[in-house]
Amino acid sequence: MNTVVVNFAGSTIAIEYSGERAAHIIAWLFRAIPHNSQQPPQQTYRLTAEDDMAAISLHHDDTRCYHSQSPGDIAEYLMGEICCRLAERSQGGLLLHAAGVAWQGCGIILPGATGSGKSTLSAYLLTQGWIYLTDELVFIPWNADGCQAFPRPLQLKTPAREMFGPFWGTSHQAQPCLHACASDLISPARVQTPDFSYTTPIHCIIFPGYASDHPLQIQRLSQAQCGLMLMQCLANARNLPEHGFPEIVRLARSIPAYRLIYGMFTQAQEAFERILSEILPLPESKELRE
Amino acid sequence: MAKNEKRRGILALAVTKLMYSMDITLQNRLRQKVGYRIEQLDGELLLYHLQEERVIYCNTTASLIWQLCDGQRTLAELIALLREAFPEASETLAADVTAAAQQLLDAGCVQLT
Repeated sequence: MNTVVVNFAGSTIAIEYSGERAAHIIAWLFRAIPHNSQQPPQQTYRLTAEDDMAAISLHHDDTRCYHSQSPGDIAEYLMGEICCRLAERSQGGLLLHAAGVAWQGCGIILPGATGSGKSTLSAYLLTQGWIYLTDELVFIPWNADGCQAFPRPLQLKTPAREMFGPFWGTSHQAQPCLHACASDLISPARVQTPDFSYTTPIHCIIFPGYASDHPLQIQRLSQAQCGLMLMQCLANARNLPEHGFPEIVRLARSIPAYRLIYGMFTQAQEAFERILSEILPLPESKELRE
Repeated sequence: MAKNEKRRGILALAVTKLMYSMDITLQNRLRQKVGYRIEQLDGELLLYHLQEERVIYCNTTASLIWQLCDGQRTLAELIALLREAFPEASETLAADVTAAAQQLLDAGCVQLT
């Protein structure tokens, strides 16, 4: 039995696995995440082939929680479990449900609940040349102005998989995509991902919201409004002193925040350019527009 | 008080369902509920109650009213006080303050005494 240990945001999870199919899934999912086996794991999963070798089973604490013949379905389920479990024990900073993208070292986090469109918007921005940090979890250590991103595979759900899937294609040697029932997973190796250990400075917080045919709406948020919305996206509040409220306030005071409503992705691109032109010195923003 | 600040005084996030359904009257006295961590940001307030896991945002209007809820003044006296301070807003002030006070009560960060 082999083991990979995922360490992120103060949490440590071990995944034991055996068999070639399980090894392939593990390698594909966690190649962009350093494996730190020095800290004892707080939770353990086990990924093994069924007796008939057709299906793969996932166990958590000796209880089978999922099984499937589809590597994509297994990968999707396992990554969802990992993200939830990381939040359960996370401490040492703020763990936000947020996507993260970057442009020439300028980091933007996109907080939002599951299903709010973070992954779809991230996917679109990647097609426009932005750097992918994460589509789900951002960790901001205490008193830091930068963030660490959890580089899970980009998850494209319908209709994003139809819109953006062809952008990554199938010609990449490292197999860019795993197909699951509800989504396509794009390997972090296929999108631009900075070194995991790199802390990206956060220049801006944007709360995105998609509404079909809605005119573009960009609202600069007050510090208090930003604080309220960040509290709604805080995944590890109960593990933190005062539920992370003072640190959320510190963040809201120091980083400009916007609410973005868009009906088309081209509007989102336009909005990002306008926001960056407001918050960045002229040379960087001019370069973006060019 | 800005005339264009309408009755949208509060946006509350509450884990527990708020149970208040009482309509406030001018004779009611309101008191700040204890247990809130208070942060003032650019004239607005962010309140957080640790035990109830509730965060409440108050714009400048609601912030001012909340800070005046000392359990001593009736709502009518509070309106009169604000009318003196903001004579230019006297037309809609009573309705705005009443609506904001009702929202504070519904949000659970003030209580009737």
